[in-house]
Amino acid sequence: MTETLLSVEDITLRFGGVTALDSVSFEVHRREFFAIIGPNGAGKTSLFNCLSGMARPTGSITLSNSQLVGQRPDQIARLGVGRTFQNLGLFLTMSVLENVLVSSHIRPPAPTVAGWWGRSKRVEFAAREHAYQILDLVGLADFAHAPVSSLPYGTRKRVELAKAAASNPRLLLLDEPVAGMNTEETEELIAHVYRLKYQLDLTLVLIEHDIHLIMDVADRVLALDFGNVIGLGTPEEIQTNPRVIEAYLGIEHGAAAEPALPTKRRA
Amino acid sequence: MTTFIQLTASGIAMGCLYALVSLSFVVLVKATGHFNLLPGSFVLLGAYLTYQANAVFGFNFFIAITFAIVVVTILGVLIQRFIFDRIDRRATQAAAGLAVLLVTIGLLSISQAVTVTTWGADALNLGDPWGLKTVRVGGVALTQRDLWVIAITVVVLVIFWLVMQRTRVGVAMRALATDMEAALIQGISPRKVAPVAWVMSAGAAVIAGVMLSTEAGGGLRPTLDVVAFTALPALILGGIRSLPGCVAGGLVLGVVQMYALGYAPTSFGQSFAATLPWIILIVILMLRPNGLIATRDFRRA
Repeated sequence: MTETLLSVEDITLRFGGVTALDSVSFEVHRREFFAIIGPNGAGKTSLFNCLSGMARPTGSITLSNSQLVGQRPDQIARLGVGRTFQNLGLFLTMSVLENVLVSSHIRPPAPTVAGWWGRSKRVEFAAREHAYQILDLVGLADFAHAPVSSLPYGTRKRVELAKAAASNPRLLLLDEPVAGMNTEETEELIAHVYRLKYQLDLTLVLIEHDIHLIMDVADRVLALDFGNVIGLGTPEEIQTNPRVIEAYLGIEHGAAAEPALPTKRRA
Repeated sequence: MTTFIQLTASGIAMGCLYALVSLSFVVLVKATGHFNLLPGSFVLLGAYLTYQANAVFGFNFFIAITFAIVVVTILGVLIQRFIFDRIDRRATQAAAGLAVLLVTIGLLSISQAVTVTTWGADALNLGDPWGLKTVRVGGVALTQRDLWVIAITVVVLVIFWLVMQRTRVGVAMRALATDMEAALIQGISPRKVAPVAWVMSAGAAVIAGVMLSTEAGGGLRPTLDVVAFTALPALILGGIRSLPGCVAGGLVLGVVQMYALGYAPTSFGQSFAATLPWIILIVILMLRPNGLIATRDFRRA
């Protein structure tokens, strides 16, 4: 029933003397909505960097049967790992459609100027059609030709989502997709995330600070602190995990404004 | 008035050559992320290889140009694979930018030496395949060569524009130039995109080199690359990353240089028109010192 898509085994990542991740292991099941929480500096984004090939940890990360550690980011993207960035990885000077088309570059073997003109045309056409389908799913088809730089922040977040989804990922990594959004915008973005998840049959891994949101959407939660796994389980289990509570309460004394662990909101 | 139109027309033709050379630079900046001097070598080797294929092997002139473009492209791809990639993997961005620049200065000296050894230091005759006749429009005399230069430049520009705007390779190149990390995460492989950029860069440089060295009375000399570097102010004028910008910069530079040639008082000396581009370069860099920043910034840890 629960097929493992992503398997992280004992990965450690060090920058100089700092250990960003210390023997982290977990598995993500196919079609799961998996969340990662932890205070600032807990290693959440470092973990994403390892998963997408931008950092090289020791240990093993496998997607289905492919080893990801040691592969280049573009190779990992081809294997089916998509990602959004916390501070957006959009190509500002290009249009919404072009941003999404960037991903389509990886699908069929790329025809170059040397390729057959007719075949190139067909492939270009198919790429555009696919891009429009994705834009429809996040409600951006009307903005296809708008330059990204002309769009408000909330809409840019949706472009970022569409761009990541357009590379046909099996596993989509979302790095704080609703950071800086109000409740209404957050609900709208999460609705788009759900639509993409079901239409494209995605497995999601979400980094999020808003613990209310995680309690609402996640199937399972991984809690990190100082690069160590301090909890792994259902949102209910994580909420009552003493180490997680301590990590979050401990932060309260510090300068960082992390939310305290809230009471259960789900009915 | 006739002189003015005459100078403007010659200036546009000259500007087209500057535009081609600076395109060659910009495309490489976009594809490799580093400003480098290889287009100078490309202009030089391209013109000599065309001479070799045309005058020595006896191929048709346009086949000879194609041959030169292919050879130069292969050289470029090999240089990237074996030198640039290695530097990029091992150095920080700033260090890699400087290392690449210095490496290409070295390669430039080597290509000059190879040229002198292989083809000699004397001027060679590449012929004047464009014809030396002049076409009279009103009172203005345009050489056929100038008309060819303008026509070929327009064709090259249209092809470049179509590739950059209308193909996925073009979109991928622009994506890599804007935000390399995000582009990699989207699955773009610089190794697959780069050859297209090298073909474009080599094409523009070789065509410019050939047209520069068929100039009546000029001929083919091993100092051709120095002429090519006169296009650098055009590049700076247009912003080092913008294709339309460097075309505009090239045209402005060409026309201004011709006006200087025609109108500057003789007391300024004979070399005034030749040094003018460099004076412009210095002034622009004093006003906009950031114009030269070409290295990609990596925002995320």
